[in-house]
Amino acid sequence: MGRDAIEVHFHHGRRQRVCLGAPRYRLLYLRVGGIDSVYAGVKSQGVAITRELRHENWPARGFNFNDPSGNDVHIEQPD
Amino acid sequence: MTGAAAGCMTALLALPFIAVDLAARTSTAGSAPGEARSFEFVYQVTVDPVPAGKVKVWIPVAKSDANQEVVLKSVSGLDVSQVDSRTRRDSEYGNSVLYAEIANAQAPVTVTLTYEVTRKEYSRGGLNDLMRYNRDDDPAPPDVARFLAPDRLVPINDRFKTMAAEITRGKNGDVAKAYAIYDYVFHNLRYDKSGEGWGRGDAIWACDAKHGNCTDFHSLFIALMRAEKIPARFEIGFPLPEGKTDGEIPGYHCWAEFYLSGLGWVPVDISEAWKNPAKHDFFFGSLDTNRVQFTIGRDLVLNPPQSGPPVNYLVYPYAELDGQPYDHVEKKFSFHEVPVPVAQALLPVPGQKALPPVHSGSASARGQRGRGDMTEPQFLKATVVIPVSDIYDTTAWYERVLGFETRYVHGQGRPGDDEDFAT
Repeated sequence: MGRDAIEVHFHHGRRQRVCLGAPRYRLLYLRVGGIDSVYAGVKSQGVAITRELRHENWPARGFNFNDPSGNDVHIEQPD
Repeated sequence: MTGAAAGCMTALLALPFIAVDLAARTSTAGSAPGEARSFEFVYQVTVDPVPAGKVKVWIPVAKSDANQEVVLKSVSGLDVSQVDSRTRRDSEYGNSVLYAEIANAQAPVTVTLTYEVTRKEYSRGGLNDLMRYNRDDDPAPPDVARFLAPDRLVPINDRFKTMAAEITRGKNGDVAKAYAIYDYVFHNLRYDKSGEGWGRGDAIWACDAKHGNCTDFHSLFIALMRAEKIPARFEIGFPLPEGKTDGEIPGYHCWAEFYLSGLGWVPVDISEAWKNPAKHDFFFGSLDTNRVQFTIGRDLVLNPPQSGPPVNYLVYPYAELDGQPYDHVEKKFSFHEVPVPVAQALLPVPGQKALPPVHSGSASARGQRGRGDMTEPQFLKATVVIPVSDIYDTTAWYERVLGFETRYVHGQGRPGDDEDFAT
């Protein structure tokens, strides 16, 4: 699945066990244009924002939330 | 599923994770005609012989960025003793050049660089869109500070400061000021290459003469922008004739960008707007597809450094003989349009700066004797891998929250099922 130039592949199965010993923190990092619209769209769906939209320490603005699997989704727009 | 996507999935099936391909290939279906142009571009240089001397030649090399996919397919005409096996970049702007040394030539040496290029329309939005970034209290980040500094022919003097202050009087915010300066240049210069003095990008000359070519238009624009403390930079390449599919290209074309805090670089092409006033608003914030960019900046110190003074701008080859500029160099440029490949989908959508595009296929550029790869190495594609607990719930959630489209789902999608996947 995907949108514009971003393509996301999901996979689930027994092989997931190979990562059981690996760190649990997983980050889905997406770059977008029109981040204000994306942010408003996510909030309008009732998704809890874990890190509000802000200027990052690098030249970008971004925000974070979690997907249903607990993955940290970070969306940002470069300056 | 496309072949490219299928290939991606094959690799991913070994890993039970989500994979995010930020620069994934997609079909061009649905792309409006005219959003991209693909063409073969031939850049040919002929250096007159110097039987007892060494001519050093710097040839600018186009490279891929967010708005164009460039593959240097071949370099012919030089042998192993004459040319570096790689392109070099200057330290100030990062422009690429091919450097060659031609010693004791008994006959003219012709070097031909053949490119495959896909150029996409580049838009940061129109004036109304840009006004969302209309603020003037943010300091420019350090990496754009160079573009607030003067160039030899683009000074920041009292005259330009006074002019810029008058032109932008009553305007608040960088976007409003930039638009006022854009409008001033548009209305006060005419595109006219008569007489002498035009084409050097001398902002003072352009201001007095009130005419010139793209170099003069944008040099005045940049001088006035920098006088208002808005970073602005010069960009140059070649135009592609609109409505033609092949032919020779008589000369270069240039334009400018200015920097907006919170957004980044924003393009303008005032001379093209002057030629087509109906596109006055379009060319404030957008560039069409009819071009290929080669370099940025003025007063260039090349790599390796030339003996002569800084190069005013670099789009044609620069040559030196015994430490002095050598003008006996002919150049010829041509293009041949080809169908837009799937790779054009790697370029960003209008109004969006995407990650750099992925190089497709072989990017080798080989000299006459089979030199090695001369293109710059580029790391362009990242795959992020994270686990997912439920295929169907997850895909539905991404559809709802981020507007993603599910293309294919396989398996039961419940915990414990083997090799379920969605793409």
